[in-house]
Amino acid sequence: AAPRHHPTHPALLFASAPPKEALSGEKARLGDLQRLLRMRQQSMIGQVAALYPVKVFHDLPHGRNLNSNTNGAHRSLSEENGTLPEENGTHLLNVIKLPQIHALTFLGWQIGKQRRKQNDICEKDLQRSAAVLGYAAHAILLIASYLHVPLRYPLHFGGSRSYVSDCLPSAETASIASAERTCINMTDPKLTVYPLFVECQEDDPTKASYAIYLLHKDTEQLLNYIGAESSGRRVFDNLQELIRIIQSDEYVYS
Amino acid sequence: MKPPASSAAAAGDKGGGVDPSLPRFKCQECQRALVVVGVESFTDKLPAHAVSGMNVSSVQGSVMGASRMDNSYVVLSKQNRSHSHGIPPRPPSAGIPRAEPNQPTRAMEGSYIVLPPAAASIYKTSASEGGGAQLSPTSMNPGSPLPGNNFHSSVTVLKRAFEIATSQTQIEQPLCLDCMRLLSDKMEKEIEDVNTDNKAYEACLQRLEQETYNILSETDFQKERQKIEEEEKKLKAAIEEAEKQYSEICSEMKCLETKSKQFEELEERYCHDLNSFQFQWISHQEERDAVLAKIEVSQVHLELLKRTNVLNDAFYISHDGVIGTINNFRLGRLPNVQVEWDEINAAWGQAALLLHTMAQYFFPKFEYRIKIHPMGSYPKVTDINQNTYELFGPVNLFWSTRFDKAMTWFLTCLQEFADFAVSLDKENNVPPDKSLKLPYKIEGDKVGSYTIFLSFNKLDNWTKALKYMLCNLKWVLYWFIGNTSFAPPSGSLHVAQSSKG
Repeated sequence: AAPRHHPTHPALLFASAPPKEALSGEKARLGDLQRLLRMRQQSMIGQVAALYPVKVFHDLPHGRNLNSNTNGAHRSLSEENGTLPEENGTHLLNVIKLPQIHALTFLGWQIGKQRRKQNDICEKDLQRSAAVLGYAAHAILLIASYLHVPLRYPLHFGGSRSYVSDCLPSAETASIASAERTCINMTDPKLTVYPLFVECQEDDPTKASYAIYLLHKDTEQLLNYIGAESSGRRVFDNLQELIRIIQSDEYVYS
Repeated sequence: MKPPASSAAAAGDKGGGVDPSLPRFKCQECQRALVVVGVESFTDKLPAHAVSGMNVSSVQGSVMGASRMDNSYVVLSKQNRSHSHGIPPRPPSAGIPRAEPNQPTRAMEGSYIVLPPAAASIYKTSASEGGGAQLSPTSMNPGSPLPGNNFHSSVTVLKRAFEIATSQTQIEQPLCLDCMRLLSDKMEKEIEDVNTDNKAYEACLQRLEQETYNILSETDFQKERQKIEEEEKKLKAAIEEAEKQYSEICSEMKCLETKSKQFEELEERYCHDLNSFQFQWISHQEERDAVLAKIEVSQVHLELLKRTNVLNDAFYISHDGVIGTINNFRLGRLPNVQVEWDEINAAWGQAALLLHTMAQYFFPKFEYRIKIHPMGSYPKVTDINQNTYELFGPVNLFWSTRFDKAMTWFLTCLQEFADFAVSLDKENNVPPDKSLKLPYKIEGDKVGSYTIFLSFNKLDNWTKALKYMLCNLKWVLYWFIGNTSFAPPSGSLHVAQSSKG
């Protein structure tokens, strides 16, 4: 026989049971609320995209009019990569693809690899790439906070000197801490920070390469959160895709 | 009860001091080895073919010549021949006998039964027992050697003797002295018990004989019988009534059992229905709770986002004591607070990006003459003459004209944008009291009477100038947030929400 632990008649229980209409009403309310929330997220992330049209200008000879060719071109991270004239400036997504700092985009390539003879140009390339990566880190940080997603690899925004954290085993952390004090975030001894920049061309780019890889993993995490797949190994392609999906109608009404 | 020859021989070997020709038996109670001595004196009772070649004196000598006797001896003498149930008395040889000087001293193991010549009468078999063989005494001298006397004849004699003893006593023979004593004690106790029972029976008989019987007369007997018969009839009637009631109750029970089964089935179905309903109800409640929890989380998140402004969030301007901060990067330094150039550069980068974003938003309406180039921590400023200056350090504290010019042009750009904001307010008919008004007046390189130059300036004054500049930038930012669609109006969102609800 079935367990007899409820002597109450079902008819009496129906009185206290929430009707299905009430539940469907709650579900409808939740749907509306989530739509409003997504609209708000869409709007705010749109502002983040608008905040970083980021034209990074090359040094030009004195007297050259920078204003002549810009025509107020206003490109955001979410827009397709348009190539502005070389002398005027470069869109954020193109900066990372510049030949002299192309290595920053991919994990296996050297960062800030010298492609030109002059040292000053190389230094400017490093500055430019560090700035772009810093802005990307800031954008990802803002998007993650608006989507309410705790990043797997926390970001520490510091302009052109931004960092990505990664958890390491305590023994390894201890050995790294003893070897290189600057690399350890003192607030959490288990977190090791990796720079999203290279100080100078003589520096070892391995840590920066790993930092870019972790930044890519963060963008991948955000893409997965909204139900999309990562499109390759480029941070900026993923970031562009993330903003495109969020700004589409399917994000609000999915 | 067959004594195997091998075991007898083995016992002899093991003993080391016992003649191997002696027949050996086991006590039927404790299974200890027994050696029987003095068999040869009775061989004259046996037929000639069964007589062994071993004389008595040699056997006697072998037994009596032992220096130490470890086990018991049973000597069947004239006196105890007739005692079939009693235990024979311990013979004088049962102790430790005196050793004769000419005999070798040997240890004797196992029990011994010494049969003196007078005990031969028990071996006389009748025609019925012995199968017609009559054992008669011979005139042979016991001391002389017996050519026909062998081991087999000795065993036969003993075997026969023990069979007779067994049939007489109903107890397996042979027994050692210890076992005999135990058996004797047991039998005496049994005799005592039987005697006690006899006495009890006799007492009972006497008591019965003394009792007087009250014999009924014929009439009384008939009355008594009639009375009993009537009582029997009544009881039979009562039994019939009880049986009738029993059959009625049985049929009623069957009916009730059927009903009970129906009720049990009904109850079981009810319990199943109840459980399934409750399961549905609980899952429904859980689903509802989950939906409500999601609603609560979404509500909190939405409220948080509604209160958040992207520009204010991305460029949070505040202060850390005397030093102004943007996005928690300190802009400025004091003699006692050595702020790293990396932090100052990052702060300038954020300020440059903010002003550039606001200026770019109103372009071309706002004549963006002084260009700001945000590039992370390495911003630059291009003046109206197209000269570009670096807005980042490290720089020489005594001679940093390019950095000073960059800061001155940044300040000029901020002032121009503030003027544009005021003109826009006038255009939109905003009352003068609600129009933008910078808290610290900007005049050339000065902000609220403090120069922004780093060269030949006190760090305290430079830091104060930067703090005032950030304060002005914050006011411009608030004006921008309030007057542009860069941030979506929260009012429309609220209306949409209320209409949905």
